[in-house]
Amino acid sequence: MKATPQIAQDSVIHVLDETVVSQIAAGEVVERPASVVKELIENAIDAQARCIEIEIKDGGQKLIEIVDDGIGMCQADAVLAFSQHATSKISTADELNAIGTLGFRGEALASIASVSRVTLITHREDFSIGTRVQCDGGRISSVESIAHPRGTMIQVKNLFYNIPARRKFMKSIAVEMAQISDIICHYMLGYPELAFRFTRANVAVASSTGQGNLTDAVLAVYGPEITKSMIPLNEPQSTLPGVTLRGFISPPNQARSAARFMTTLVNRRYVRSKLLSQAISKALAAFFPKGRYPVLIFDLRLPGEMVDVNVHPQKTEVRFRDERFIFGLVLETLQTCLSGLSIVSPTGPGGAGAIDDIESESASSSNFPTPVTRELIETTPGVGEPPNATPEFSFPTGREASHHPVAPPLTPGKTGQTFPNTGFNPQPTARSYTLRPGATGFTAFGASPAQPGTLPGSGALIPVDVLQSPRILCQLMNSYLLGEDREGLFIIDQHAAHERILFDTYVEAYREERVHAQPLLFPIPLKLLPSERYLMLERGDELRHLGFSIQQEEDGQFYATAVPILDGHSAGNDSVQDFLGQLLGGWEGRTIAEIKSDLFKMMACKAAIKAGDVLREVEMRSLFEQLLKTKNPFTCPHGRPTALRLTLKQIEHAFLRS
Amino acid sequence: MKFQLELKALSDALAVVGRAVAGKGIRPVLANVMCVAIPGELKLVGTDNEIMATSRLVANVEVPGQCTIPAKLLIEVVSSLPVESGAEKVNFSQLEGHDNQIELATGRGKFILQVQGTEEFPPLPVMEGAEFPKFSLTNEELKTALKEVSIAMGTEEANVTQRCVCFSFVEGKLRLVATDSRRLAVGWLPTVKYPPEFEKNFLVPTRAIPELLKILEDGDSIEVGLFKEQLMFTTKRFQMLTRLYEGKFPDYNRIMPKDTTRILTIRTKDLLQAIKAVAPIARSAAMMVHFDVGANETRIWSESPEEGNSEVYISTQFKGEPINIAFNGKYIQDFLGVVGSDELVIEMTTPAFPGLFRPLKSDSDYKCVIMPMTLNG
Repeated sequence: MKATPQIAQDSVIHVLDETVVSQIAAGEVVERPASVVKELIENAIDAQARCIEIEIKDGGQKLIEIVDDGIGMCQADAVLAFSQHATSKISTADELNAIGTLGFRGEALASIASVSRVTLITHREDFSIGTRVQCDGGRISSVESIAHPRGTMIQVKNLFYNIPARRKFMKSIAVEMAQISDIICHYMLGYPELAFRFTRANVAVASSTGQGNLTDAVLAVYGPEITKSMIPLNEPQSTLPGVTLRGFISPPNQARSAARFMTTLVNRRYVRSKLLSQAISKALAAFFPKGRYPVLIFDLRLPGEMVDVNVHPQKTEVRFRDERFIFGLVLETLQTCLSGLSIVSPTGPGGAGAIDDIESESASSSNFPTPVTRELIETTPGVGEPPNATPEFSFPTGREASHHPVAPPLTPGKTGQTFPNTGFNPQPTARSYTLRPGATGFTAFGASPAQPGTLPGSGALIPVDVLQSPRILCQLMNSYLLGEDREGLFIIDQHAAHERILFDTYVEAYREERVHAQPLLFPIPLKLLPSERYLMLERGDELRHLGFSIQQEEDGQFYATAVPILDGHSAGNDSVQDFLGQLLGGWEGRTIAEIKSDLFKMMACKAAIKAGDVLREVEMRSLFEQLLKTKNPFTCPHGRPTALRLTLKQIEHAFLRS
Repeated sequence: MKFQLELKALSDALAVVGRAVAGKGIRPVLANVMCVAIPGELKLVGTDNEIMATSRLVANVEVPGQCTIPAKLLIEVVSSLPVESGAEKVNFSQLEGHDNQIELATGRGKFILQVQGTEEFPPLPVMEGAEFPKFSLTNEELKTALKEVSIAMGTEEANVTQRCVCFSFVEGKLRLVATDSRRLAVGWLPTVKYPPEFEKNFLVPTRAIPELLKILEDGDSIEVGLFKEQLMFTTKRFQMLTRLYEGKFPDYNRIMPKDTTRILTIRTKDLLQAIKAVAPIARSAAMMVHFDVGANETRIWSESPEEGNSEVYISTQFKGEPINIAFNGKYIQDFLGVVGSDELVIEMTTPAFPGLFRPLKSDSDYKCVIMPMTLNG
């Protein structure tokens, strides 16, 4: 009798009460409003809904409402659904090995309910009446019968009202809204057969038709501009039974400056997997310049036992049983698809596949004959064709070319085949790799010749930090300036050097001044995601100081009606889209001064001389002198070196002179 | 293959055809000029798959044949041959047993050039006997209109309307329109009569415009044909075929300033002088040139925080309320360079609305719309 109070008094360890447990669990599942939306959409999908409506108020802090027409629940289930680890989706541990539903942990609703006020109204078809359950901060406060059509409606109000700490970490409404919007877009793309309707304060934001066609879903999310250029992904034939990989990717000339346009779905679940990202970036490296990403929809389906989603409560992480196989499959699919496009640098004395080549050529890709187009020209009939047929001398437009069926993957027998006499080679990375689980092809990817920066001995060059009595000798490959100083040889990247000069000039000229604006006769339509539209609506006016003028038309479309003009160069259509894309990707927490500096970087990059521009001696010297006058001559505004050095010592050493 | 022709004719033809070939080694064969020798005639063809220029020359052909020769090399070789009397002849002959070599000889010089076959070259259009709609116009008229609109051509890759000159055939009138979205120019060809098949907009790539201007130096009139959805321009000696862009040219009438409330009349010479005077300062202020327009006088000025100020007063005639407006001085200079009239008119509405620049003389309908510049905020 005496012992028990003794222990209670001295003991510091005790079992937490149920509410606290739920709140801790909620910390993992419910990180922010977007995670609530994700969990609830997944519940609706698991309940076999055909149509899901999502209404958000104040970035989800005030209200998240999800209405579905799924199977619904009976009263007993509806109450039980609020307890921890209550689920209808699995019942034995074995089922964890092959999960067919999006949810399975049975903790989402309980977690959400513990940090908000939840109203659940549901009706199962074979019951005569529906149920309404009210739950505040994890405690059920009322259960009553109510009339409701088949399906479930969940309202989550005052999220995190009982966790002030978490509330403080919430970002602005616009940012939370953008996150929610991104999540919804991912599910629209993952479930084209479901009709989504997403509204914000009862104003429609995005909706999909649920026709079951992925193209329609892409159209709903990204709009017609992007959709028409997308290329379907074709998986290689040598894959495993039950494994499919479908989707779309935009061609390199339609690249975006943020990775958020990439939707990776595994078994229709939106995931962020390190393995997949690595495989994707490896495949993209040969086609997209650094920092540029495609719009990608990537739908990988695997037999349940090949993938483990039970890694983290949020279920956005997955583990694959055979990582090498998955890596190879993703890599090969993307590479074959992209190399079928043949936006490839011609093989010549200069070698192939450098990122710069692709960058410069993607800009003029519509004028760039490819093996595909050559075929078109050659197969066009000559005489006696109807007048409306394709003329002999004509050239398909970029649009036609991109609609041309993607070339089939090369078979091993044809590896390295060249198109005779055209000077074109299929992209070196398009080599065929055997794709068998556990095959050794994995290491071969590392040796892919198209990888930049793996030149042997490139480490021998070191960035310059000081030059002593330097002089310029000549121009190398119309792209670099060679010079000597007391230490030896130095190489200047003419583009980077000019970028630095222009950037400094702009900064100097416009530190206090407003940037001049060049209004446009024909405004530029901006390609924005639903989430980006919010940011633009809220903060677009700040860009006025930078010479931009952004307006929204009645149909919701945003236009740039004025663009900045610096030093006589006004920003072009592409640069405007790029710059705004980058800006919208990370606007939060950045000051107008930082944004201004980004604008200068972009404008400097566009206005600077390019690799391949021939410079006269006077120009070379003037460029060099101007560079030395800048405050930070040896780094370009993007942080890359402008000058590299090969010392006399290194040269002597390599020639084996003692 | 063996033929002989006049050096002068060859070098004139290459000056046009050689410009139509593709640069930068996009597809090696497109950097070549194709030579086709048939009895009595040599045909030279250059193309970059966007435009195709053809020249037919009188030649004494002994052995017909065809080949392609690197354009740059051929032009250099031919232009290095001395022309004295103007009647020099060049002999071309394929070396026996060396299909890929051709000998090019004049009285005193001899070159042996590596040539290639024609298999890779895009097939030539077959026009003999083909019926297609066409009409003629004077070189002078087309040249003037092309120069007038070429100032507003853009270079933006992503936007078709900014990479073309629109040949707009509407209700019996032909207008050329070009825009880079900052300005728009409309050139007018007053005397053109065309067949009904032309009644639409044709988007001609900007790439074709300098070449077209070049062949307009040949003769007095040019024939415009619509051949298999491409436009074909034919002069006495040359023919240029251009691919057309697909797409819709925006309705430029929509942005033409209407009901302008302020009309400024200036002598072209005065404005040119004034812009020249303020340009050095304007250059460091994004070429922003301000106009303070009053009843009898306009103050044209520019200021830059780094360089200083400049201002010029010119006497002008003006109808409407005084206005302060700014334009890009470069655009005005471009306009002044082609306006071809002693006096010009600038029609304005407000400082935020586009200005309409046009010659005062009544026999030209040339118009240039320029967006004003602003300092936002």
